Amino acid sequence: MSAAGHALRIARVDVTRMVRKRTGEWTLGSVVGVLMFGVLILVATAGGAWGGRAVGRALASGSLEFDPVGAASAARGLIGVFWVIGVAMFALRSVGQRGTLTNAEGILTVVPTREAYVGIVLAEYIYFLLWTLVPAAGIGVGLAVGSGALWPAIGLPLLMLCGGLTLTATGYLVGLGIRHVITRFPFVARHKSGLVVLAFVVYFVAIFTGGLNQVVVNLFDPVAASPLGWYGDLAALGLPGVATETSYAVGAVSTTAILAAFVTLTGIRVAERHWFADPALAGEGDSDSDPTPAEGAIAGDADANVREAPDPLGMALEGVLSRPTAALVTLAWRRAIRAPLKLLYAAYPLLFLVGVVADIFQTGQVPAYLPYGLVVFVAWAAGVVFTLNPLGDQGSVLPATVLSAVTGHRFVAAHVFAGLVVAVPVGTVLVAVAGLLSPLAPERVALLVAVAPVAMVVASALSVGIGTAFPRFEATNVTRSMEAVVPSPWAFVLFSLHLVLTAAAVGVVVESAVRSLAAGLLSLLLSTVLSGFTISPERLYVVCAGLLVVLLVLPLLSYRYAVRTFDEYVLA
Amino acid sequence: MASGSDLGGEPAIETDDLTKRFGDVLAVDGLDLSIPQGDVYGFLGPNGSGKTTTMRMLTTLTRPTSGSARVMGIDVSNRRELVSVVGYLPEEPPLFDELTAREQLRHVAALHDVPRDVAGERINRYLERFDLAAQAGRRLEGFSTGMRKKVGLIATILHEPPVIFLDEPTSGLDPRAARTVKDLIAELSGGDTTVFLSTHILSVVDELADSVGVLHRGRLVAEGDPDRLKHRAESGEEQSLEDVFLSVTADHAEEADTAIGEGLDEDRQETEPLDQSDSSR
Repeated sequence: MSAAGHALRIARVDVTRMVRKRTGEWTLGSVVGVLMFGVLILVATAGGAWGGRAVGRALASGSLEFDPVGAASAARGLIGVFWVIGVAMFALRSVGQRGTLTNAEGILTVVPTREAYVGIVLAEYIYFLLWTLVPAAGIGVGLAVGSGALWPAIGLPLLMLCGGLTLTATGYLVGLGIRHVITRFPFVARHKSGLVVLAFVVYFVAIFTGGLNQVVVNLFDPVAASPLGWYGDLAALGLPGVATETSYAVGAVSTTAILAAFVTLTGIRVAERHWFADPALAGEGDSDSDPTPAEGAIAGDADANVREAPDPLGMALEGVLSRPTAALVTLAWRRAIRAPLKLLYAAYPLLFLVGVVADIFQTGQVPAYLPYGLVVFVAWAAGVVFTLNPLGDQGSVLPATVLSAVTGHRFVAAHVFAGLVVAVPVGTVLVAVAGLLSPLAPERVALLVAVAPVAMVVASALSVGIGTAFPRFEATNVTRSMEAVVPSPWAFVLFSLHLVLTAAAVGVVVESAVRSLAAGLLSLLLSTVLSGFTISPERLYVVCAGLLVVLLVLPLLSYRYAVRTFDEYVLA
Repeated sequence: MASGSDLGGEPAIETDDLTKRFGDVLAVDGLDLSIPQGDVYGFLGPNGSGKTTTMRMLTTLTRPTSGSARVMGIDVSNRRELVSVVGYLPEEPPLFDELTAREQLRHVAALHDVPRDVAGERINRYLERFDLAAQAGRRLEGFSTGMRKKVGLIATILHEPPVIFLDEPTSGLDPRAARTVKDLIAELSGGDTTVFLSTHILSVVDELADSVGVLHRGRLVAEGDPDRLKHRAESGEEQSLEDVFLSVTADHAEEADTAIGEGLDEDRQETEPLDQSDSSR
């Protein structure tokens, strides 16, 4: 088989594995996943075609009064910025699990590194096209139909084919380089958890402060002026009212060939270095609090345990918990500290606060609704940190835990305890501070501060059952030696849904203003389905009060379910 | 080695028509075992023959489809009581990469409610014995396969259960480490611990086992004393334990194929004592 044949074979096997992973066993999750993919592509394609036709018509009729040169420049800048964002996304994939070959020894001892590298980049390119090619064709066809210019129907898919190739190849190279630094340099490897958290914090700060937006804005003109901007000409060539250049469009294709060749050759060099270098061990040089047995000590002598340094945390916990329960709590904290990445997903909802934080910075005032939102958030965070995947977090060690003196009660209590001991003080203080800075009345702030810990306890009890019902054992590789087992999407969705419903029901039951607003909104929505149907605030109150009772009983049942599931756990 | 068979009392492990079916696949088919306390039982069989499934059933990690089993007189449906009398080391040692070796062992000891001072003494003793004391403060993610296996084995015996199930305990170990493991198994057995040993390394079974069972396609196709196997080898019919293993499993593969061909696959085949006379074959 030729070199190209090897690369194609590697890409094909990679794509086949991905497809079989998602469709090999038709579980509810895989069916929903495939359906979601189909729906998303369909919506993007149909929506793109509809929107493209509208824009095409507007351009053809001249109703959009663009400066043709400015419009072309905007197209170049926009596509260039998207290209950079795409590179960042594929670099992240490469830093994670895609930067290492599956069955690396089997591949790298059979084919040259360059063929393996091209194969894996080719697979990335195919994944890019799986998501973008058809929607791009939809937009292109829409633009062509709307504007009467035929080229966009070809130009948009061609943009994905050309731009996607350089994007994925560049992204993979950048990611592999970062991965090499993270995993092969001992100092960085030792501190990678902290560095990842730091990067995450910087990312959030950049979002909150608008710094990220500024970066994108600053990128706009340079990329528009660079050969990357020529992809805009390739896509929009022939569109009325957009002063694209044919030479730039041709230049985009040439640029693709040159850039793809350059980054691929560079990437092969990086891969030759990275894939054959010994990983720096994060544990190297680490030492727990126990010293190595003293020189000359007799194995198994009676004083051997004296050599052990005390375990103050474990001993303190054993003062209030059983020894096995205390061990599980210590384990949860210790693992979280050493692999904090797995906890970062608890911060995702903070993205919803971007606008709020920006407002606070601008106005200098904390909005009255923020403490309410924070109560929901801290309850959510308390529920997801340690309790939304208790079985999956144990991984391959679960059978050993099951075959110990740990009962279901101990196992579940340990995880709930581990989360609440951290979440309750932090969450309560957060709500209190936000409440005191907000214009809320002191009595209302006191009520929220009292409700917050209760909400966190209820949320933990709920999440532990949901997490047990929908465990996720597969780890997401961040680097070869650092994996994060995040809860399953189903667990996230069900837990979040319950929390949002509970918060809404509480709002309706407690606040008359919320009740009236909700009744009005629901009546409006329902009347579109059932003509003339309305719901009064009073009736909504009764419905929500009943719902609230059910929603508040569920956590109790959920907790009991988790206990029973652990006690009766068997391997498939 | 002194066989635990002489200890008397009830068997350490006893199964009666133990069967496990996964859908249409019959993983374990009517297994009857009776293993005396203190014995080392070598459990052999080709890949996919049902060895791991059997061990999982005997440790409550998988429920039997039918039949029954008891370990130290405790039914395998009673997990809460059974966990105190068994230790199980899967082929892939169950370890948390984020922990150091000592932290992992402390954790396991705590899960078994072994008192802190007792646990500390045992951990130090075994770490020394397995030549791991110097690495005890290193995180397990940096450990080699052999080192992980050794830590896993220590974790399995920390609570000193009377019955331990070991799945390939010497695979991935260098000769010195393998020797340490074999010595430990012999020592445990001498101290009345029953060892249920599943391995493909026949020399380990040859050296350690008081009795051997060969599982093939879920059926116990041969069982007996390994010394008689040596006798058969010396008699010239078989060359080694490996030849016996290959012969027994090949014969039964052919029988099973023939039976399936004749529509007789549901018929039970008798377990063949390994120590029966040459003429029986």
